[in-house]
Amino acid sequence: MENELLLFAGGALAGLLGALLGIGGGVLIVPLLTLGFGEPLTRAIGTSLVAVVATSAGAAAHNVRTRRADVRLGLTLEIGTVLGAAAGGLLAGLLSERVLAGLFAGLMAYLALSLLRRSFAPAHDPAAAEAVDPMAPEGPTAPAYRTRRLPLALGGSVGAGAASALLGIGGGTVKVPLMRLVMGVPLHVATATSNFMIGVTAAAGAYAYLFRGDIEPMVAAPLALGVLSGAAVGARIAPRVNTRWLTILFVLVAGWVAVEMGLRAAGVAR
Amino acid sequence: MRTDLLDRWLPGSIQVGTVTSAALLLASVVLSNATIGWYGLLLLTLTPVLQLGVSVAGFGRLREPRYSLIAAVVLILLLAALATAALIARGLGG
Repeated sequence: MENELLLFAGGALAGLLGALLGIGGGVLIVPLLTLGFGEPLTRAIGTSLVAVVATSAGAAAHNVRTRRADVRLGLTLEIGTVLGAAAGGLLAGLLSERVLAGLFAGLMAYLALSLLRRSFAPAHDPAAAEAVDPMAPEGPTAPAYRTRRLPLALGGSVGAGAASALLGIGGGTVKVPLMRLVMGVPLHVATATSNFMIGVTAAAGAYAYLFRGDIEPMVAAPLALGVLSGAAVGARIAPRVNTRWLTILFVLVAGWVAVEMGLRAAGVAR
Repeated sequence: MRTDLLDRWLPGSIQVGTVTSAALLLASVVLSNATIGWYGLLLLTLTPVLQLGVSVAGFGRLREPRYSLIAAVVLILLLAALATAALIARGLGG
């Protein structure tokens, strides 16, 4: 029972930090399981995917209810992410742990750099976030933006889905820039829409791990319960918390994880 | 224009799936039963299936056949991913 409590606490911390920093729990759960609990990387990635489904559920429901997510856009891009995630989940079973560790090291380095840049960037105008209703149907009340380059975004979504399934993440790190930079979607709508999509994407990737036996229920169950609790608390307190120092702490941890995973990829560490 | 299926039922479907699977996961931890835990995890990953089913019905009711069709395509792809994973695992298991 002691191990289950530790997993619950670790999951709660990952869910809390993920919600506070807006990065999803996956990037924290994989290092927690591999470096903290000594789980094999493939098993950690599969377990992380089901935890990501749990994390996204609360955020997705909230974003749809408050009309922040563009459900039409999310569904359209899910054609690509589900295809990519299903293929990625199957492909992960064929790749060596060293290749997966190398990919994860690259992801952590990228995430650390982008969070560092974000922490020094000026805050966006909250008034602009209220300007559009992405749930409005076609017609006079339709969203005040028009998406563009859909075929390119659909292709990128396949990549986002594959990254999600190969690395055990929600894929928001790919989806949000894709919607924002390629399609011209406002940042707050892109973030909410990505949160709405994450559960579907992660589920598509998780099936391969679940049926292959790469998810240990007695590890995943307490962890997912912890993530659910932590994410719920994080979502409530996020507006009142100054995350600047937390971001810097995360950047340091992500840098350390990138080095550790890089060493595993090089065959220097196990 | 009725939007209740999207505004209320879509978040509701996500919450029902999550709460039910969380109850199963909790039972598996308390009873130390891996089988219950496996079904809890499967149910959790099936929550998006419910979410997509509600989207198909919701957009159909809003008379937006294009998005109803897109949601149906995603639903079929997700179910195909589930079936493929199960069939491959069965094949590997002999």
